[in-house]
Amino acid sequence: MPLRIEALPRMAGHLTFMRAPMGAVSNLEPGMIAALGIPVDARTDAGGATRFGPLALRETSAYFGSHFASNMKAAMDVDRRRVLDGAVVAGRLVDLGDLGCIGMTAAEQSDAIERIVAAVVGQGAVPLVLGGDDGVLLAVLAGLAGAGANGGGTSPLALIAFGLDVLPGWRGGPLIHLVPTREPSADALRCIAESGGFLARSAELRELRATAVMDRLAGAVGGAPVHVALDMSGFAATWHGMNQRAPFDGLSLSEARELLEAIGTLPIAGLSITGLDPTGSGLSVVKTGQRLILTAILDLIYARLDALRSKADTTHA
Amino acid sequence: MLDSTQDLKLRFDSPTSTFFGARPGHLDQVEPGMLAFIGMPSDSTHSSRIGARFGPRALRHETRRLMEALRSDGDGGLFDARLGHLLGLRPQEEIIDLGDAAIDPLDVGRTTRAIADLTAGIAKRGALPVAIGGDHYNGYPACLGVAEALAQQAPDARFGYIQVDGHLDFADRLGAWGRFNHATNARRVSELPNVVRGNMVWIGIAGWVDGKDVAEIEGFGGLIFSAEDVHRLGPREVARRALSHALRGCDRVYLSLDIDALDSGFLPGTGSIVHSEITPRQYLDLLTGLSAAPLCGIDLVEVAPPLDPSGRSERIAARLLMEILREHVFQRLEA
Repeated sequence: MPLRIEALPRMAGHLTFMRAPMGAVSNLEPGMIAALGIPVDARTDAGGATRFGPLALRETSAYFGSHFASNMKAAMDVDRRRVLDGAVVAGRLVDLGDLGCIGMTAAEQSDAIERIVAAVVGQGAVPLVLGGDDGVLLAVLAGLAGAGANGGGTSPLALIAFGLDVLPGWRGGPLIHLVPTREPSADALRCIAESGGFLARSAELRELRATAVMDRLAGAVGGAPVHVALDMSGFAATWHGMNQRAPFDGLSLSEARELLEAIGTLPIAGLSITGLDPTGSGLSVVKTGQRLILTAILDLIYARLDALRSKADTTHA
Repeated sequence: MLDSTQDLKLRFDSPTSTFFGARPGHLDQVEPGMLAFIGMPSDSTHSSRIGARFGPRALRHETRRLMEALRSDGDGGLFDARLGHLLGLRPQEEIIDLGDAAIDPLDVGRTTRAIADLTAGIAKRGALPVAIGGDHYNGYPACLGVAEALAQQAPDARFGYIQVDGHLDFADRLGAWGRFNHATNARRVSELPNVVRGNMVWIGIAGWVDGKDVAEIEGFGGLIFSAEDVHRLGPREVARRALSHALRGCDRVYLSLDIDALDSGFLPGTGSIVHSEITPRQYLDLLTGLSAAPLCGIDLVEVAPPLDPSGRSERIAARLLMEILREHVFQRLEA
């Protein structure tokens, strides 16, 4: 099932994530990535209009749908001289649409989120959750855990959080918290240490080479399945200004891309994007934050699908 | 060939707003050695977020303000703290603003001819055309006019081409827009008979592009400096290498400046944003390096003021425009 076979202008066709085909849970197969919108924004006290996040992410991702269009034969990351093997991606990315949350109580929302995520995982696919505020994360994690995202093994689910506040009372596998938005409490630090994970601020990540970060991540995660929770607050506000929570620090795109590509090689069971408020900063930065997070997440998705191939740069050797 | 039915109708948005406060004038007042501006207020050839048609108006306003500030401070000379130079302003009579080209949003051929006729007229008179967009498609007719003038004056002469941009703009067609739009301008330039394709240089290209365009460009000898190359080599070194490549066997170069090479975190007021992490300072340094080049024409495009109500996008663009024109706006004074 090809992603796109016609050279449509990018404003045409159905608005799905990266112009992927629309899919149903029952048709998912192992190895697929299933985009799922959860347009809610009343689950935290951070305010904002993150319910428009899934729409904004899909709109922006349409730009990258050209990676699979017939008028772009070989999408190339010119900065890193890598090409995308489109055939590897084709048929493995689908969009399930948005979860209908309007009129639900918070408890009903959590239940619905948990069940849909569990259903996706039950088919052997990886849910790509398009939030929504960061309050959806706990329900997503519950869905993953409930569906046996650990593949029936003994390893509990590990969590790599990017941005966000440190989760209180984490009881899963290793918790690796990168670029937290606030100084964590002593209890939170103890929780991270007891889980076998670690916490790293942006300054620490910058000092480490990607390989060193990867070594630490791989060492902490072991063979456990991982959920990656990306929140807009992990990016430095200098580059966008569209996050639900104002970060005191954050990574640039190139720093985040390097990190996320490394994370993409881990056994990812689920992925969530939260905290994008496309209305909060007004027109002056419309799209910049959306493009930022989408550009970053492509590295993770393509790495997860093992679809990137290096191309030697002979021009500036 | 695009048909030529357009007269050179000129107009001004305001009688007091001209680029750098230049005197408003007409083509027959252009003299050798002058800097001659035209506006290209067109964005119907942009495929997504429009607003660049308001670019010339905003840049007239901002460059005039810049110049007025410099004049008010400049009696004893101006100190350029970045380069450590003491500068004076050149005589204002050497700069002229011809107004806007007569854009026809429904007829890309007429728009192309209107712009090309103006830049050709300026180049034929021995002045340097500076064309302000508008979306990047308009860079093609601006360059076309220069190419036509050069072909008349020196049929055997060739020129190089440097494009500072977040995108290659080297598609042959684009969806509903066909062959003439803001994603095809560089390819159309590469088809001009007196442009040396192998001397074409792109600077600042960021993120995901079409790999077959890269292969084709590098196949005919063109050179691409990605945003990553700018960070790795430094903007001055990139400028040096770019000029060296673009001027091989040529004595002049056309420069096309797309403002979207800047990271959109700094400059969101543009239609096709990228996250290049290129800062205004790096863009400025790049233009410093290019400013002494033997330029035969310049365009600066894609400033879209409606997309940035803060106004900083046109302010940054105005400062960048002044930098590429520093040899024409300033003269070096003894310290």
